Amino acid sequence: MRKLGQLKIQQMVFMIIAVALFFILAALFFFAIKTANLYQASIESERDKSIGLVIKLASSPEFSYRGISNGVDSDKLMALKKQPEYRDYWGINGISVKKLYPEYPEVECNTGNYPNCTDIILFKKEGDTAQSASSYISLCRKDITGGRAYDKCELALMIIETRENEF
Amino acid sequence: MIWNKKAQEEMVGFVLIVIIVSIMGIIILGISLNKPRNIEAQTSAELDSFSSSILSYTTNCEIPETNPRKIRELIKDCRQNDMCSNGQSPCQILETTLKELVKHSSYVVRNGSYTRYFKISVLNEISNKTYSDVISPVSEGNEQECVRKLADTQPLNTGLAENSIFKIEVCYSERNR
Repeated sequence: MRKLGQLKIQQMVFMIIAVALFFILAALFFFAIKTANLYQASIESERDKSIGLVIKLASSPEFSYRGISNGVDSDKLMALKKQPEYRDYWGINGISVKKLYPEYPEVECNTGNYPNCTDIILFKKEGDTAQSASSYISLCRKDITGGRAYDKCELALMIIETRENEF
Repeated sequence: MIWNKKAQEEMVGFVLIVIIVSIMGIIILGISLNKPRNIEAQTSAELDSFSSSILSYTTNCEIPETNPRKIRELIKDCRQNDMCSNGQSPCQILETTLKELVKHSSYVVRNGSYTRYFKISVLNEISNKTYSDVISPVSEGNEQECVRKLADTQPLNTGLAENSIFKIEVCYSERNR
């Protein structure tokens, strides 16, 4: 009788170990599948965070174009370009805007060639190690057709440069 | 002998339990693996800003007595079968402009580029949650390469009877940019 009891205990132990192992393996397999895309998601989240900073900047009153969602006023940018005191206002290393479409001659904008240019560089501080983030914007200005003024918006990229790990 | 038989019966019971649990596990795993992999669960801030910028882009289409049309307005003109003052149809200009905008963005799909698949659709709601294309979708790359797809949808308040939406779908390569 004692032997039978021992055998039963042994059987139970084996069964518990086998069932536990099975569930552990199944859980590991499940989590391996679930976390497969985690790395990619973390990269995208980091990118979204830095882009969020650009979007926030683009919607500030100093840049925004009235009535256009995600619109940046290129005339304001050209005016701010001449104000060196704004270099330290945003606490970042550089702000620039690059027109993507329609195509213009690839030159930096100044009062002589504006708006037939691509790069509006507000400021760029030299020295510090920087990382950059960019976001798409509508670069808008007033234009005239047939004697009527209208909002002309183009596709552009707003690029900001910051110190390492500032995002 | 009686002990031996009992032990055998219990062994058979144990094996049966293991088999049943294994089959259940395989079925559950099979179901979870068979779910579609391209889940449009997320939208990204970058895609959203690109989408907004596209809709505000001013095209070279001028409908008489109006200002040059933005993409958002051009979609309405396309649905109303208007005509631009240069003789081109709004749908034609819409399609060409969208292609050019994508070509000049980071979403262009080519060898070694981060974007593996990109598609812009302008959809018209024909009945509850059923949509038809207003223009033929502008797409690049192979959708089959997508493991995880991002999508951004913007409602278009065109003022017409049916609802229209502007939809961008994108998927990136697995490696970091």
